[in-house]
Amino acid sequence: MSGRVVTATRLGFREQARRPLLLILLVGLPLFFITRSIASTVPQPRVVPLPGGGDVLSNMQDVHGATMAAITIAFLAGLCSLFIMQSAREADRRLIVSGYSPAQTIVPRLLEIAAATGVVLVVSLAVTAISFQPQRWVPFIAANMLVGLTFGSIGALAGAYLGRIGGTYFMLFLPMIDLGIAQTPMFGDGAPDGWAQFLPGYGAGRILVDAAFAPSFNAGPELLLASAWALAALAAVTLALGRAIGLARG
Amino acid sequence: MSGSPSEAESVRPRPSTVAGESPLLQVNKVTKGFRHGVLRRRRIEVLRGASLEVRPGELVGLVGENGSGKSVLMKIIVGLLARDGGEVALAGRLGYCPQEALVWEKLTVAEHFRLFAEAYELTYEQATRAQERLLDELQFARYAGYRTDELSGGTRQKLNLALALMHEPALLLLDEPYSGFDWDTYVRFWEMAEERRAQGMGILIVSHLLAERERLSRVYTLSDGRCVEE
Amino acid sequence: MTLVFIREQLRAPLTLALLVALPFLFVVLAADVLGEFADALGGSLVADGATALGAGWSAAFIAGTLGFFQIASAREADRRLARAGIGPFRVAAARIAAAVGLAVLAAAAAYLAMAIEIDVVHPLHAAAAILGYSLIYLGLGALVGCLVRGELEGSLAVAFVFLLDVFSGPGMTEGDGSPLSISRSAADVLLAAAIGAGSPTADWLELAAWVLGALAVAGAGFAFSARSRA
Repeated sequence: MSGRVVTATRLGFREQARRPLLLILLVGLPLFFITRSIASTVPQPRVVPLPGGGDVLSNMQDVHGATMAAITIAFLAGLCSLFIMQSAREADRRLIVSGYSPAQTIVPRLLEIAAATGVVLVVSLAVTAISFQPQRWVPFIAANMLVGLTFGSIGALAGAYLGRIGGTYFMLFLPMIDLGIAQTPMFGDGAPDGWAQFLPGYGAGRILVDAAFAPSFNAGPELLLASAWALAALAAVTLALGRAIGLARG
Repeated sequence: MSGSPSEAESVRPRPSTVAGESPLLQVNKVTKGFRHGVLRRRRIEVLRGASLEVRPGELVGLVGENGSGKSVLMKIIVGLLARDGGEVALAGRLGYCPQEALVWEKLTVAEHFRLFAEAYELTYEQATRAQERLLDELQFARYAGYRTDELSGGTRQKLNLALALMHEPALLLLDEPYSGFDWDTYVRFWEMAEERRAQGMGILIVSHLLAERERLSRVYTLSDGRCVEE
Repeated sequence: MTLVFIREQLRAPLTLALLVALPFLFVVLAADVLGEFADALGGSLVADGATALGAGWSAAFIAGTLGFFQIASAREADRRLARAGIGPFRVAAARIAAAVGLAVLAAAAAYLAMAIEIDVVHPLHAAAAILGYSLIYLGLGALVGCLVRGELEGSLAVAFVFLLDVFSGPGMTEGDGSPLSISRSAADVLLAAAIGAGSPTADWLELAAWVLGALAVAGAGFAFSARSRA
């Protein structure tokens, strides 16, 4: 069994690596978007409400720096996963007819999604680090990973059920509305409105703010929520992949 | 296909070499319908009790008009579509060549063989021999290092066919397998099919070309959702 | 043929609903914050102006993606259609008409949301400007579709230009906006229509030039992708 997974994974990665424009965009887009956003932001004073109560005085540039990576990761991971899912639905079914089990084709695809998310994550965090230093890097990185996992999975689901065009729209607008508007401490009083708590980016967004600005970790419930979202989204995409490529014999 | 035969070819189907053996494929009264429309949902019954069988050493044709359900039946047999009713029984290893060349755009021909070798659980030696043999038989060895998106339509279809034959299955299902072939390759395809049929392979071909009927052991016509043996 | 192309793009579930709902939702949800966003970037936009630009952006991204997928998803099919006797220019005209039709839908949804959120001083001018956004991005999407084969790469390329445009637009940064902003003319007219005294003739001419140029690029792109390679 592992030979099939290893071969499919290796060739799947090789296939993606032969798309130089994709690699350029996965590096260039975060580089431009994050750098430009932070550099363009005026460092006006900004009070940031923290998870668990209390607030801290920061500035708009730092707030933008804290949140831009997550928006970028959500958008790029979602879009990459959407198209990986589209490929899986078309070609992988033939592998299953030929002898692969659904799990043996799903695992390589999930690894591809994870790798694409990982590339975006590393580039985004590296670019962010040039201009912004969170209070605590470990939870900051963890929050961004949860964003990548959640929105990557949502992108794959969008690929399965919405198609290329609808899915592309959805995976641009959702991160913009969720992380870019609803969860960001840049606007209004800085705290997410009530309706924002029902969006997938809420938990990770609060962990980000906590990691970026709070002196100590105080986002336990939000961590649970974000983890639940990530696991649920991952489970849903695994199920969707299984349904999309499974065989109907028997 | 392009080109023309240099001389008339007369091919008579050989009798089944293993008459009386259990079928490799038995399709029994399969039904399948689809729902169409958004505001007004209507159901279209494509298959209404289709039955056919393929025995070892037979070259069986499935013909029918466009939209008669040939590809639907083929997909049900291999499991890509769920049937609404009826039964499908398969014996032995299956090789499937779909109408669309379901291949990976950025992988080379050789890498496709590697991937399917794993699927068929072939050893490295078996896979290498199969690859060399099929590249030679279908005359596209010089494209082994080419990526799929660099291939012509006909060569992609050769790859598509080769992947179905790698493991020398007991039962081979071919859905319009020679679209894009030039004449020489088309002739070669039928020679390959005859060779394998003589070795006991059962082959089911979906075909539109009436001229090929004389090569076939039996022909089913799919009409009004049912298979009628000619 | 135009209607067929429209139906083709809307075949996937919910595409039409998303095409209309997402621009509408974005404008409504972003209305309160875009002014603050512009302020954070050192721009001079008032809130209503930012809301108006938000309508333009959302219509633009929809149209740009549509233009890209119109070419990317139908290259081979359009070539066959053109070779069948229709010719590449008629195919291109139908493709443009289909893309414009769908872009108008998205623009209408964005305009409606804008009109709900703010009091538009010159409604017809604003509608024309949002349509101008859509058509300029339609040309961009078609250009990307000619240059980039991969659908993921093309979508990202459209998004990259879109983000560059947003960050370079008038009112979003200090100054009058960068020459890198391809929608600057549409933004100027939209802002003047939404919150100002309307635009002088020169601005309208500049917008018209951009739109005609974009449509010419789109037409050339569709015709290029539909032409025979013989």
